[in-house]
Amino acid sequence: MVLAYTQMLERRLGEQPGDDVALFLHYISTGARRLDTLLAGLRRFIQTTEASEQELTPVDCNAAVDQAIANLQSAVTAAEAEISFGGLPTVPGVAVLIVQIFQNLIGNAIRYRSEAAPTITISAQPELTEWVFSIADNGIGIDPRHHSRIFGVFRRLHGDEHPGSGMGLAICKAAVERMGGRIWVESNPGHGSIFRFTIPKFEALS
Amino acid sequence: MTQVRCNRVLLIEDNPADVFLVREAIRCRPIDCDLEVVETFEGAMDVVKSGSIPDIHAILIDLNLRTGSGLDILNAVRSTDGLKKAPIAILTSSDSPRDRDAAMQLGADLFIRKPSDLDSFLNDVGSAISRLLGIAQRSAAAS
Repeated sequence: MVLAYTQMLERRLGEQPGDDVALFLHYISTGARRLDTLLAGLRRFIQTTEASEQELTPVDCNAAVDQAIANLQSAVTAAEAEISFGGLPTVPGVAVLIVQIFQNLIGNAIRYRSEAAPTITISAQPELTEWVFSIADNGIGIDPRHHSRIFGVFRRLHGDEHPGSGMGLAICKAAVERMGGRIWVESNPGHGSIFRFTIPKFEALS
Repeated sequence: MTQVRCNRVLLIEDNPADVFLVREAIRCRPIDCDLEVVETFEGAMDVVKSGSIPDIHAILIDLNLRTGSGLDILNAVRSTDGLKKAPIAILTSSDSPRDRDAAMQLGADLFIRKPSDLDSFLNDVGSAISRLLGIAQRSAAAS
């Protein structure tokens, strides 16, 4: 609404070169757009919390990744991203949360890509009581001093060149923790990132 | 001979800024219709229960009214004789699947997220009204 009316004002006033008014209106609409993105992220976070009340049931992670990629289809196609995965396990979880985790991590790998076309590899390693999932990319990487901060709410390392709500990883963390797991990142600038998260095996729950 | 009547669209929305934008959407398209606006939850419940606005062809309901939920109005409309079949769109600024499911369950025809961008708003809301009037026309022709 704020954005719509700012645009309406811009149109009514027309182009007035050298006039501060146009610049101010531009600042307002940029701010309104950013608020909009933040709100959308916050809503998704709330939806995650709501979905967290659901019971854990067996979730096929291959199907979850398929769904996540389908949800991101236009971004995947535009970036010519290559995503490889297969043989992922079925784990006790909440399907919408697992899809959301993969979707946010794959989405980030594409958004924070390097010059090269994004290559994303998703795998899972069985440990004694849990599965360790890895989402590895060839993106721009993350400075180690930010590794723990990035999972907080409204945390953004980038400006408008990479628009986002700053909620994506906070949502992943909340979702993973709801299912009894942990999430972390291994990365260095220029060397891509590997996001890892764990989900307890069925046996571990009984 | 069929009687030519103007389409009458009922908008239940308590934010005057959104009311104005809906009028713009109708004007831009253009859509030939009279827009009746009810600006409170209580007012909307009165109108629905008393039938004080006759011949409504389509209804737009904002989901989050200050003093009540648009879903309650939707429910009331669907259980009122004469309005049971009125095409209804729920307008909302949320895109929560839970809200969408609830609205569809209660018999809404469309669930429209109000875009924040001006042109998208005019386009999405205008097209929703056209679609509702199309549904109304088809069900009038069928009966």
